[in-house]
Amino acid sequence: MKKFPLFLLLISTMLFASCIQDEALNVEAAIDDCSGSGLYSVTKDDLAKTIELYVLKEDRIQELIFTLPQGATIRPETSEEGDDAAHSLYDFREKTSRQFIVTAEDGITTATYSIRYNRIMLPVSYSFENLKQNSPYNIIYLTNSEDVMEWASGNPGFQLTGMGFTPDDYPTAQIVDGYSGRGVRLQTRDTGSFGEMVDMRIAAGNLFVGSFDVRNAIGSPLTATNFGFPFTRMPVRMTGWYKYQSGGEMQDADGNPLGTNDTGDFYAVLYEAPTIDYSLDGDLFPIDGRPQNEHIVLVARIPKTEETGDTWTYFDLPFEPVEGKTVDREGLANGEYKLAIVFSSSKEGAYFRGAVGSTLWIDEVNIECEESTNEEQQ
Amino acid sequence: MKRNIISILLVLVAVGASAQSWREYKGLIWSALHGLDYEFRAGVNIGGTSPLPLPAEIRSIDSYKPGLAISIEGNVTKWIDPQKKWGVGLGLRLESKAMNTKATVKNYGMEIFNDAGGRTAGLWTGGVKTKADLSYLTIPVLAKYKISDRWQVSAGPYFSYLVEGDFSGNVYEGHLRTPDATGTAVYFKGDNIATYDFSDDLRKFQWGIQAGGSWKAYRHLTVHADLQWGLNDIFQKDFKTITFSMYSIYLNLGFGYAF
Repeated sequence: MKKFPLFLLLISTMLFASCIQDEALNVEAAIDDCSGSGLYSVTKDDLAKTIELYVLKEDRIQELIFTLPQGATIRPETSEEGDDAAHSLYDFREKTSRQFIVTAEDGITTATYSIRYNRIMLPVSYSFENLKQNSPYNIIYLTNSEDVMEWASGNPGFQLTGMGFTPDDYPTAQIVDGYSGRGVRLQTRDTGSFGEMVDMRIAAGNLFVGSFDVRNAIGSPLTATNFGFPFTRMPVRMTGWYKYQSGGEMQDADGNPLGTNDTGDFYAVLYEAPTIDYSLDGDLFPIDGRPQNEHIVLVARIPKTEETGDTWTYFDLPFEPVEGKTVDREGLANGEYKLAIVFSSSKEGAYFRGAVGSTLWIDEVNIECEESTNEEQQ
Repeated sequence: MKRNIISILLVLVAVGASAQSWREYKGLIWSALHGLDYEFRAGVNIGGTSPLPLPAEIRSIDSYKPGLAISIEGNVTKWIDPQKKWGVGLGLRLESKAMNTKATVKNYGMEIFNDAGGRTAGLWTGGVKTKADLSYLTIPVLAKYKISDRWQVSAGPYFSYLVEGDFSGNVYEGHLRTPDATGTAVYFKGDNIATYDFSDDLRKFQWGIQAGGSWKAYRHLTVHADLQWGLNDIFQKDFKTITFSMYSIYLNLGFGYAF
C-alpha cells in the first residue's frame, strides 16, 4: 500500500503537467512606474490615469523610462518632432501635456495616460480648499492658483481594504468647516479583515508633500510613502491651525494593546537629496532606537498634539537645525534640498501603531521663509 | 470530522467482527438464497479538486500533497443472473476528499471580501495555495460484472451529500492588478499573504461517475481501486469568485471484507 500513493502522485503530476494549457498573452495594460533623468518627482494617479512630471531645469525634451506589465508596449498618441523613442526621449515643447497609450501583450487591453510636464515651485501656504477628486476618496490640491500639484495620502492603500464605502470612510478627507473655509480631517481607521490578514490593522490618516506608491503598500509600506519636493528657500517656521482628539490606547501591528494613549504628529523637514530622485520614506523617524534619517538638516515638529476639544489651536514651529548639520546656501539655491511636510493622526501610524478614532484636523498652514533673492520663488 | 470518521470506522469494524459469527450460520444462508453479497470496505481517496480542463490562468502546479482522506463503506450486491455474473450494487460510504496544492497563476480573476461587506477585486499573478478537505456521505449505485472468481469490475453513478467542507487558502508572492487589467499593481512579497475561505460556498450535493475493479486476494479479503469523477461543480451556482467550475476527481484505493 505504501508504494501506491507515490506511484499515483507521479501519474497525477504527469496528468496535471500535460493539462497545462499554452500560456495566454498578458492582459495587463498600465504604467507601473515612470522615471528619467532630470525628474525629481513623479506623481501617478492610477484612477485618473494621469502622471505629473516635475523638473527643475526646463529642457522640454524629456527622457521617460516606463515600467510596464510583462509584454505591454507604450507609444505617444501623436508623435512630436523631437520624439526619439529609441532613446526614450519625448518632446514636450509644443504640448506640456501629452497622451500615451499602453497596449497589453494581448493587443486588446489598452489604457491611455495623460502625462504632463511641469516646472513648478512648491507653494508655501496651504488652505486645502480645492478637491482634485471627490470619489472614491478625496484628493486635495496643494496648489491653489494652478491645479497641478496634489497632496499625497495613504488613501489609495486604504482602498485595498475594501473598507471605504464613501469618501468619508477614508482616513484622509476634506472637511467643509475648517478654521477658514475648508480644511482637512485625518482619522485613524480600522482596516477590517483585510488589514488583519496582512498585519496592518489600522490606517492612520495622513497627508504629505510627495507621492504614495500603492505598489508597495502591502509589500513594504514604509517605502510606499515618498516624502518631499525640491525646495530652494530657507524655511524659518511652520505655522497653522489644528485640532486633535486621541482615539485612546494605542495598539501595535498585531492588535495588542500598548498601554499608552495615541497622539498625532506633524512636521516639516528640510533634507539633503543626494540624488535628484531621492526622497525620505516613512522610516525617517524610527521608533526602535535607530537614529533618524541622516539627510535631515532642519526640523519643525510639534512636540505633542494636545487634546484640543473643538477649539482650533494655533501652532508656530521653528525649523531647528539637526546637530552637526548646516544648510549649504548655494546647494539650496541649486535644488539640492527637499522639503517634506507630513501630517498624521497617529504618530507611529507608519508602523501600524495607533488607536482607531484618533483624529487630527488641519487648516491654513504656512511655511515662512527667509526673504528670497531668487525672483523665481515669488 | 476526520476523528468522527475514524471512530465510526472503529465501531463498524468491531460490529463487523462480532456480527461475523452470527452471519456465519444464519445470514449467509439467507443471503445466498437471495443472491446477495455483503462487503465492508476501507480505503483512502487520492486525487484532487480541480478545474477541467485546467484554464490558461493556471501556469503550473508547484506542489501537490494528498490530504489524509479515508473512506469507509458498506455495500450490498444483488446478483441478477443465474450465473451470478451480473449484479447491482448499492453502498453507503463515509469519505473525505482532501488535497493541498500550490499553483502559479497568471491574471487569475479574484475578489477579496472583508467582514464589513467590502471587497477588493482584481487579477492575481503569482502563487495560490489551496487546501480542500471535503467530507461526504456517498451512495454509489453500481453495475457489477464478475470476470472470474477473483476479478470483478463495477461502474455507475454516485451521489454525495457534503457533511462538512473546508476550501480555503491564500495567495502569496505576486501582484494583484486592481481593480482591473488597467489598474494598479500591488505587490505581495515575503510574509504577505491574502487568505481566502470559500467553505461556505460549497455545494451540498455532488454527483459523479465511479468505475473500478476489485480483486479477491483471499476468501474474505478484497482489494479495490475505483476512480470517482465528479460531474458537478463543487461550488454553488451563484458563487462567482472562482470563474471556472471545479470538479473532484479521486481514486479510491483500499481493501474490503466480503462476508
